[in-house]
Amino acid sequence: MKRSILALLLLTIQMHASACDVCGCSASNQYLGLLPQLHWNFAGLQYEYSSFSSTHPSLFEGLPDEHAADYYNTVQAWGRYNIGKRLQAFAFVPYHFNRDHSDTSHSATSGLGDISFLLDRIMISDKGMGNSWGHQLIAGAGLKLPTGRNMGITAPDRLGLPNLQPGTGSWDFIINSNYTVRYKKLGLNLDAAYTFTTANKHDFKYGNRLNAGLLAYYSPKPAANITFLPQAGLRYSYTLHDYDNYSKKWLNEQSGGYLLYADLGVQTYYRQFGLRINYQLPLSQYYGAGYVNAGGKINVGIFILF
Amino acid sequence: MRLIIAAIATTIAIASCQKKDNNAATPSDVSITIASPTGATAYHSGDTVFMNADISYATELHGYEVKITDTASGFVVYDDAQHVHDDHFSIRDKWVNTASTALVYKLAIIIAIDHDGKKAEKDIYFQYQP
Repeated sequence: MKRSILALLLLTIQMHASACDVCGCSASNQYLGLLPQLHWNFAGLQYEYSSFSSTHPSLFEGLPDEHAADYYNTVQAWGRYNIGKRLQAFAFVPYHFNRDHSDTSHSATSGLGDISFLLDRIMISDKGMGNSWGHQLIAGAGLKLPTGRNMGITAPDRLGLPNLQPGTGSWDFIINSNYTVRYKKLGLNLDAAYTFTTANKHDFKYGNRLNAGLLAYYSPKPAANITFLPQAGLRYSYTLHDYDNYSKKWLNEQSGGYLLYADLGVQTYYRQFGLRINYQLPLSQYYGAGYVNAGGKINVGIFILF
Repeated sequence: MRLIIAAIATTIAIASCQKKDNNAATPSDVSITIASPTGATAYHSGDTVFMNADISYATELHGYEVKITDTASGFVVYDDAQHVHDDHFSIRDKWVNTASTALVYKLAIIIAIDHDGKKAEKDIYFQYQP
């Protein structure tokens, strides 16, 4: 167990330390977080809201800086299906409603986003005996398909903002791990996902990104059939620079960066039905060369276990 | 297990190295060809001044500004700036003047080569006779 925890921590630290100095983040970060009952399948629907504001200094003397505010709304169907005793398949189908308000224009986009899949292996599944320690580890890999609409580089992209379009237009590869350790009613969840992006047909390449979180939770059982899990922790995302043209190695150094959020939430279950609510508050950030500021994120989801 | 983690960590480390085009920004190498207006043309009240130019460079450019200045007063009478991320592009702008006095105007096409302030510029003067 010690070796597994150490390995996970090392992996997370390695991903952080090896990236460059000035980077950003993306709206389409996918992560698992604290998952319900390991050996059950589930299907769920979740909604996420996030916002970013940006200031882009004028390139030319005497002209004003440009300002923009972007609002991202995503409704996502997702689920997990156990394949045998050791494998778990996850699927994510997002639908985006995004709005951009700049000094000179307003625009809105909506549509099916990029569908992604993960196939994870249960590496450790130790429920513990009674009130003793228990822990579980899943890890695997996945694929993000270019199912969302993408029109190539847009004005918000140039301002270093995350992708306002429903899709990235690229095939991306994901590796992830999710570890939970529990002692009596207290638990700790550590998850990390890294996305290797590829260039899309416009030769635009979004930066590779890391998303990692550490959540502590408490699980009192106020009544039979009811589980209640208040949780608090940190979530960190780190995105490398985008390439305006990957073949020509035109690196956009005003994109990418890091975001560190405080993560507060609660999950509750009644029989096979679950509800989760999270709020993420930015604690520290350096995003789009400092010209982009992320606001808070709200995530609400329901799911059914079967 | 250890081997898998080492392989993943190495892959991520390699993928995190971002190569970039290191062409030095050289304003004199930016090609700015202004097809219209030409210095020989005299415009009259109500005429449309078409501003057509083709721009190219060895690497990525970041934007352009098209500016018309009244050379007598120094007033800027037309100003348009756009972000462009390409190594070649065309500018197609137009402006209609209805001033009542004869003037000489300067059309300046300014190209942003990077975000650090390096620019290339080409100017052309044209006559206005109302």
